[in-house]
Amino acid sequence: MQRQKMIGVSKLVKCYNGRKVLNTIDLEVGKGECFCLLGPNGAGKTTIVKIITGFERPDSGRIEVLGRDVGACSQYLKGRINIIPQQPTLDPFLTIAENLVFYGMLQKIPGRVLRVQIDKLLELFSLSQIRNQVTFHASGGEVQRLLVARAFLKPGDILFMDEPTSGIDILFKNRLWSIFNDMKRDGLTIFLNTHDLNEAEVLSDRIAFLFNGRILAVDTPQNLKRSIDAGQATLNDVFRKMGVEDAGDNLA
Amino acid sequence: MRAIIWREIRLHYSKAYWLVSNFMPPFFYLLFFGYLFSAVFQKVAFENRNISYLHFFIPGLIVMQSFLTLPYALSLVNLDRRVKIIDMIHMTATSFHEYFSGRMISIQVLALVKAMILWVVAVSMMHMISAGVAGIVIALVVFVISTFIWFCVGFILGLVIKTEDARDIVMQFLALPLTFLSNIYYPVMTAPGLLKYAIAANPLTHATNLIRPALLNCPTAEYIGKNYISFLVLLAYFIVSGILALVMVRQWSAKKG
Repeated sequence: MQRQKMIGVSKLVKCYNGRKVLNTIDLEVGKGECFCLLGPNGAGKTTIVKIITGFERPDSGRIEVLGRDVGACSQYLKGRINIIPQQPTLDPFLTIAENLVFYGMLQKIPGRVLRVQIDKLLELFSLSQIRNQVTFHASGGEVQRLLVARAFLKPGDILFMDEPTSGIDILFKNRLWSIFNDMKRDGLTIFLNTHDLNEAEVLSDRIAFLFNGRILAVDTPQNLKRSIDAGQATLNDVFRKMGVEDAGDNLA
Repeated sequence: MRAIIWREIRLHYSKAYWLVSNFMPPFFYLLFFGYLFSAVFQKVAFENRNISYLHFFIPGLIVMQSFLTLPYALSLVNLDRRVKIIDMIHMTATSFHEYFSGRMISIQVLALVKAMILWVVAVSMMHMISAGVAGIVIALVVFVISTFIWFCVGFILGLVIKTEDARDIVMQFLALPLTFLSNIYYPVMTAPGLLKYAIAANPLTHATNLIRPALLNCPTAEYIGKNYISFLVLLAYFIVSGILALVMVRQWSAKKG
C-alpha cells in the first residue's frame, strides 16, 4: 500500500558562492517511514534539512512538507515538525530543566502539560540527576541528550534529526535507537541525517547515499547491500562500490 | 513573548549579583560624581536661575538610564545570536516579532525601574524640587520614547554585529562618546565648533532638554515654547528607529523561515 507523502523534494538546487552544493535532488518520504540521508561531511545533508525545514531557501526546486509548500507556510509547519539540530541551540546560562521550560514556552505548550512532560523526558533521557545543572557545565553527551529530549516536548508529525547521536556513548546510543524505533512504530515520520553507518542501518527504512550534492542511490538497506553482493556486503562496501573511495573513510 | 520575559527574569532579575551590578552604578554616579562635583561647581545657570549642580545632574542621570538600554540590548541580542538562541527561536512557534517585543518590554521595564528609584532617592534624600504631575507625566513619556529609540539601535546593532571585538569597538566608539556629546553632564549652549552640531543631532540632548525642565518644575507655557523642537526631533528619531527595527525584524523573520 502506498504511504501518505509527508515530504516531497523535487529538482532541488542550492549554490553557495557559485558552487553547487545540492544538484537536482529528488526525494520523497512517506508517513511512518525513517528516511536516512547518508553521506560524508560536507556532502550537503545539513543544507537539505535546513531547506526542507524552511531555514534556508533553495535556488530552485519544489519542497513540500505535509502537502504544503515550505516557503509559503513555514509558521504552520513549525507547529507540526520537531528538529534535533546538528549544532547545540541551547541557552548555556540556563539549567538543563530551564532549557526545556524555555523551549516549551517558546512552543506555547501549556504550563501543566509542560511540567509533566519535562519530568518524563528528563527521566527517559537520564537527565534527572543533573536537571539543576547549568547547561554550560554539561558534557557534550549530556548536551546532545538534552537536544534530543527537547525535540520530544511537543508532539509532531515529522522529526528531523541531524547527527542526533554524535558525542553520545555507545550504551546510550543503543537506548536512543530503541526510543527512535518505538516512536517510528507509533507512526512518527523520521528524517535522519547521519554519517554513522550503524545508525543508518539500525534506524532506516530507506537510505539515500548523498555525495557532492547528488543522490547516488536510494533504497532499503537490504536492497542496497544485495545490489552488490548477496552475501556479506556492508553499507560501506556499497558506498565504495559507487566509486566514492575517499568518502568511505569519512563514514563511521 | 512570555518565554522571552520568563528567561530574562530567570537569568537576570532573580540573581542578586546581577541586581546589584545593574542598580548600583546609577547611585555611584549620583554619589561619587554628582555629589562630589556639586561641591566644586556649586551653582549652574539653568532657565534664568541658578541651581545646584546636583539638581542639574539628576535629570541627566535619569536620561542616561534610558540610553543604557543601547549597550544592554546590543549585548543581549548579540549574545543570543552568537549562542544560536535566535536560531532556536526560529525553530519554534514563537515569532521573531515576539522576541523583539519580549526583549523590549523586559529592558524598558528595567530602565524605568532604575530611573524611578533614582528619582525617589533624589526627591526624598537630596531635597530635589519635586515636579508637578504634568512634569512627571511628560518626563515619563519622554523617557519611554528615549528608551525605545536606544533599544532599537541596540537591537539592530546586536543583530548586525558578528563578533565580540566588533561589539566592543561599537561600545567604545559609539556609546561612550554619545554621553559626552550631550547635555547630560553639563550645559552645552557654548559648545565649540563642530561639536555643537554633533550635540544638536544627539537624541540624548533632546531627551535631556525635555526631561530636565519637566522634573525641575518649569512653568508649562515657557516649557512648551522652548522645547517643542526637541520633542519633534525625538519623535522623528522614535519613528525612524522603530521603522528600521521593524524592517530588521521582518528581514530576520524571512531569512530564517
